[in-house]
Amino acid sequence: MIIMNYNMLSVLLAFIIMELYNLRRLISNKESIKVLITYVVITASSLVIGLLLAAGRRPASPAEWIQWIFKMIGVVK
Amino acid sequence: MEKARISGLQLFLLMTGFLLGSRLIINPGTEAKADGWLAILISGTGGLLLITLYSLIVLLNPSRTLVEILRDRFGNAIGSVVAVFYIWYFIHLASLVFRDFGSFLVTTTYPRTPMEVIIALFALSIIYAANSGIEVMGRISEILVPFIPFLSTIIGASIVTTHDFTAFLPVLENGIKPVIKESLNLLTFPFGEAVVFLTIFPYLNNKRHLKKITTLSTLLVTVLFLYIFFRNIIILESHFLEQATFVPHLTSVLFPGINLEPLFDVIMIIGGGIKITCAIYAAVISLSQLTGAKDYRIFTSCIVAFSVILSLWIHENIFELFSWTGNVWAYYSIPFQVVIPFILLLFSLFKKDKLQDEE
Repeated sequence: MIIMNYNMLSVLLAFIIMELYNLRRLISNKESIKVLITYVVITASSLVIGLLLAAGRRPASPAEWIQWIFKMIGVVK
Repeated sequence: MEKARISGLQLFLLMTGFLLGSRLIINPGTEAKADGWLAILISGTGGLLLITLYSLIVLLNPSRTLVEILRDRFGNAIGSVVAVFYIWYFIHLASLVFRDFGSFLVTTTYPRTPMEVIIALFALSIIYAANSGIEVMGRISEILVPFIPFLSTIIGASIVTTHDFTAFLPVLENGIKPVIKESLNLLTFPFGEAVVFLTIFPYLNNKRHLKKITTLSTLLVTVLFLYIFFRNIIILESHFLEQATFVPHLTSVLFPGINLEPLFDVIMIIGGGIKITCAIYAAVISLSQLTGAKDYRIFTSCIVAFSVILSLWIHENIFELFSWTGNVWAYYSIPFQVVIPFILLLFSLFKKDKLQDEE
């Protein structure tokens, strides 16, 4: 059974509303496709990671990847 | 680039607030124990050199931000790739400060409030500040940053009755190694993080004073770190200093009769707020220049949201965060803070010489 973190979900919801509102402005400003794609990718990443965290399924974080790389190189023990 | 200008005083205070940032809640020089003051002096000297390096890059490339300099010196393709890494670095930096801030408030002041809510509420004010632009950020720092040394002095003076002025002796009891390690940590957090200012320095109205402003700011921050270190060690002594998580906070609760905790919260909100705003502003400006967006403000909310999620994702707890920043952050930061800026300086000097020869 998945136990949801409702605080995290509320925070996520607030940000999503804000970003959807912003997306409307972005489209009306006639920004380039590059800008639109960047915006959507960042927003989607936040949403996916946020949902996983809310569901208590924390994926390996960038800090762990960075530490792993440094361990492989032999910089960090 | 935003059509805005900040005065020398505003840049000085913005930079001072940024450098003090979250170091105000994490005791500077803890790992070197009683020799922390030596580590602060060494890192302060190194920090001065690093920040002078950043100033020189901006002086050699006037009115250009980091992305423009990178593209100009490394070429469009390589410059853009390096710029993406820098944007990631700025977002990562903001998320670490968000987490410091959230963990500190949840541990000390709001133990029953979820950290997500604290960080998200703080993030809303960051979005507003970053959207208001560099001039407003400069004016905010003009009003708020002077409170940091003022409140730190009040806290120090209040606790001066309980003290051991020999607590930092003997010198180099554990050898030079911990001192060097802590110096490297302090150099990369916070002095080297001033690489963020490569996107802010171009807004200074009079560039002739840039080196003087950055030098004064670094010196003031080093002196304040020394003051905070000596205040904490003469009150707590080195073994307590090593064990506590938020040392300055522990120092403040020792004073009998008066609750000094709120003063620490105020200092943290000012320092942390300025640091996150600068990092987010640098990330957003760089991203908008990289993608060719008409207005940088369209990216603010999505970058802040990503940074908030990253802050909750990146480390499971505060001890993991401290361990990571103590062992990995310094090595991870060196390419961004030292290697690439140094190459940029060399390229800028080379190009300047070439132009002079052609003339």
